[in-house]
Amino acid sequence: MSGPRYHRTREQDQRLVAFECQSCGYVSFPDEKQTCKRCGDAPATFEEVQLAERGEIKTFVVQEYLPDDIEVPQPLAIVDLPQADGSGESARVYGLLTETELDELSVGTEVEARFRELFDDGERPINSFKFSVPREVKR
Amino acid sequence: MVVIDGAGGYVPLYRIDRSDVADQHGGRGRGESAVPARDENHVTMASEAVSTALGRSTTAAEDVAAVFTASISDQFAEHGIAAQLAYRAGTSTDVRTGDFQASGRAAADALATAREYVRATDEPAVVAAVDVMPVESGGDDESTMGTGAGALVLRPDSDTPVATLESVGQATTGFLERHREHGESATAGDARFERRHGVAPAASTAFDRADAGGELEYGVASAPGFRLARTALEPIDAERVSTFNQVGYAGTATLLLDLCHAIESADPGATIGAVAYGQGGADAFVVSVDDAADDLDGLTVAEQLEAKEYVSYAKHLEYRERYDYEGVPNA
Ligand SMILES: [Zn+2]
Repeated sequence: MSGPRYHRTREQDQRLVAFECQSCGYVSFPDEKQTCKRCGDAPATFEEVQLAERGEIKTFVVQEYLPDDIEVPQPLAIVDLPQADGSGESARVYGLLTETELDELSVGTEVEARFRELFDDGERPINSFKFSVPREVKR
Repeated sequence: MVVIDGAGGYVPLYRIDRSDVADQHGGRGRGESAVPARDENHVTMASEAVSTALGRSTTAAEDVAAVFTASISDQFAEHGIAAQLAYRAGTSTDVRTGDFQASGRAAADALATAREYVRATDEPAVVAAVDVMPVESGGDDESTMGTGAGALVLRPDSDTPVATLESVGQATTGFLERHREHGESATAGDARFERRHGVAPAASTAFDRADAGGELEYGVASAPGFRLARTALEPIDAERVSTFNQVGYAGTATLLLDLCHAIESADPGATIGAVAYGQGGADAFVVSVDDAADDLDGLTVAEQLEAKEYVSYAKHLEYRERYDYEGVPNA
């Protein structure tokens, strides 16, 4: 496919759509793979599943040294997002955190997917998912 | 009949205390204004409001037949907001889209058009408005320009509407005073002249045509200043519901955000008169609140006004910096 790379994952970048391996139940996000990363089924049969908006932090790192136009500290987390209908396995998702202070974060913290500007392509914003502690926690 | 099947408002987390703006440039400041996060833009904020509105409605995204949006601060001359919101929400590619702009009335234009669209097609429509009002350091309106988004889902009927859109009235007077060029700050002009000759006649004509009568309990007004908005509500004797002192003037978003706030805060059965004044005239809407407004999913506007963090004066400028395309450089 021609065009910018992000076009290929446009749906999962904007709608929290993931792919469930029909052999072993592994849920891949954001990429739909040819081969299942867990059971090795190739070519694997994947079915689209919708992910829930809230999940749990499994682990995170805090980035301190980044280009000047990115605010630091910038936490990056691995989040387990369950499927929206409660069935099957969770997807393990990498995501930047936004609007979240370091003292609000620990392993097991509940976070919410937020549709935010991930980067800009020159001057055009590219929007996708980040995570934050739920807004009601800020009250 | 057209009902409001879902309503959602979005206010960013960050605020600038208006007294911090006053400390920089003199004068006094009361209240606060909303500031977008650095990674928020028109599409992300409007998406938040649309998600809330659709989540509260009985309407499935794939059944939405039209998405109409309004903004007077989108930095792009060509890019559009409506189609991006439609895709993100998951509508069919068969959806009709429209981007309204160029006047503070644009959200009212979008809402009135969506109402006509629903009446004509018997299908649901989504209306959203979003703005990040540009500011100039030291400018007269720096402390009161805000940001936010609001969205409504309209449909011909529903078993559980949050509200009913009873009537609409418009007054296109052609009156112009406040204006803004690309790359410039707004020229407010003579506010007293605008109140007397712009707002007052347009708002009262619009309310007359909406057949508002005298018995509306709550009033919502969108206009680029507290006193202009107060003047717009003079034709009806209603209690004003406003986010002006917590959010500021959020451009076209103010109409839908404040209307959502009023629907969320009023008891079922209450009536709301909503008026949007902008370049060229005013529009008035009469809305009655229904039972489903009593128990809504997601954060209310009031809860978002409470869940906030203050940013420094420097951050308030920095976070809005990229919105200088239609405003002024904040440097
Ligand atoms: Zn597998």
